[in-house]
Amino acid sequence: MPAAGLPIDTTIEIVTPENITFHYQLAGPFRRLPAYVIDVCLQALLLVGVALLAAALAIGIGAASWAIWLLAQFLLSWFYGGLCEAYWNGQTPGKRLMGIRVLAANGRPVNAYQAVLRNILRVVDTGPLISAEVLGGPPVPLIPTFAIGLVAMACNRRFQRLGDLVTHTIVVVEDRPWLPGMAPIEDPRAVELAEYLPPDLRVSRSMARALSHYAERRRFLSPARRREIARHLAQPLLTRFDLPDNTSYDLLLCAMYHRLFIADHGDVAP
Amino acid sequence: MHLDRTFIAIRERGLFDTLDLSLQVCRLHAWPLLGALALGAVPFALLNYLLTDWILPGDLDLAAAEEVSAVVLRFAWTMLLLVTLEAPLAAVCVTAYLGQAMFLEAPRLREVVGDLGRCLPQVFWCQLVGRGVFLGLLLAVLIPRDSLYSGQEVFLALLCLAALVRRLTAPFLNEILVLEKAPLRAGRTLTVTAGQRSRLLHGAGAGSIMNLGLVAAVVAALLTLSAFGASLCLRGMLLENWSWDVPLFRVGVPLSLWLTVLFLSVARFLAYLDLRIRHEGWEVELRMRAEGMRLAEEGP
Repeated sequence: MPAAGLPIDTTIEIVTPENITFHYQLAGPFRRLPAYVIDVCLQALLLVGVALLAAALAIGIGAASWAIWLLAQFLLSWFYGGLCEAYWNGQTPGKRLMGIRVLAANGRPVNAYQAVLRNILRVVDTGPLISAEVLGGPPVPLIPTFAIGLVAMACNRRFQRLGDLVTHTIVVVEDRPWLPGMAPIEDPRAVELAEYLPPDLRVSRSMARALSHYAERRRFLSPARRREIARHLAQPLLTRFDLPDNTSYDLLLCAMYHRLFIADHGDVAP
Repeated sequence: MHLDRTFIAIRERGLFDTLDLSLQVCRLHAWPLLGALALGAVPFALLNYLLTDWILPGDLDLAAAEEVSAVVLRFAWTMLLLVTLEAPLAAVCVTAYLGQAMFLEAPRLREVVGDLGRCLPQVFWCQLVGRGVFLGLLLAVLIPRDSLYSGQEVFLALLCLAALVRRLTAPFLNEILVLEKAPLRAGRTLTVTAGQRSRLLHGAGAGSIMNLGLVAAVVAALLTLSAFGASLCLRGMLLENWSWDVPLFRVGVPLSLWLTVLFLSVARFLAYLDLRIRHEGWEVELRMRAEGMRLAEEGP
């Protein structure tokens, strides 16, 4: 079980030195994989472009065009990710398309040193490399398995591969969570029923949270399912408030929500 | 037991988030999950070993053999078909374990098996007969050993394809039978049967289930290749042996496939929870039930 009995999740909380708490959703290997594939495809396209350019230049500058291509290949394979992340605030084109971003582990933007180093260390995460011998080639480790990166990401809570662990970086999802406002209670009978509830109505924090959650989600549920769900809490409440047994369970919970979150807060919708 | 205190944070998740979370669950519950998988998978692994022994016999020298790639591919392909067919039935203990672990801190495997025992006949009937595991094993037994290709192998492949399509449209059969304990027949009561429940659940999220299935297939292929590659690498580095040989395939291929089955079973369980949260407000129900129980404990 995770530390402090907290449920397992893919979100983390980062407290800045200014004592501000940020919640981030972490990007694990499966969310990062499509971004990586996009970047690899883009690198391949760039290499093809440079190769065509080098071929065109070969007429004029001869063998030097080969050097241009080799230099481009070297720069793209080692510095494409690092430079993109350094200049685009932790994003490569693939990461931007997939809505993920590299951050320092303390929540600050990633710096150039971190961006470049974590990308250079990617070569370790692609290992162990299988020798080309297995395919009848020379004894050179060539075929990536990505097992080191996968195991490293699986072994820590923040999905950090070795490059991330060395440079203290994390990859997070940029999605902004949808924060619901006050859930609207359209049924006027709920407002009427709220008046029949005890005037000194007080509920525990967990029940207030449960009611708020119910009011927020009920509009996505069918009436039968609402009744089924609301029954668990509404039945003991009917007994406690001495209300008739045929009171609608859904209506009762809506009335309580209205009373606790809208009426008692003086925030009544027109 | 507190119904609103679960070991996994209950909220709506996307497809990739579900897969990433599966990795966390596999890490934190690695040993019990491996134990639960072993309960179902070891008998099938032994059976598969016997059924495929003739394709890749232990005394075959791959370095000297002709048509090495054809023999190895035939072995890997047959093993893939068998494991694919058997996976849901073999992973039924994993589903039962995860179901109990949701609310209990550390369920014992003995308790899990005890709880599973009651619904095991239904599971066997639906998976072994309904989803073609028995027929698949029978076809594997009947493959003629003297020809390179046979009709039985084609039928086995078609059966596997049909099972995959069925699984793609209704993947949560284990969860319905083991966790919801839906009966196969309603009898005289008004109980919802497994079939009705399956139509209700899978009909609600047909699109997302299809997406999950397709992504899971890609992930399964990548994970299996990665695990097999890593085992090949480890052996190469430790034993300085980079050649193809029979033990590598006899152990490496099924091991990689079963590890992938474990991961996908966890992912399927989490996808099932997500579907219930999205379409049935399951997380709201848990909170309502927990609050109702607290009220009942407090008294009037």
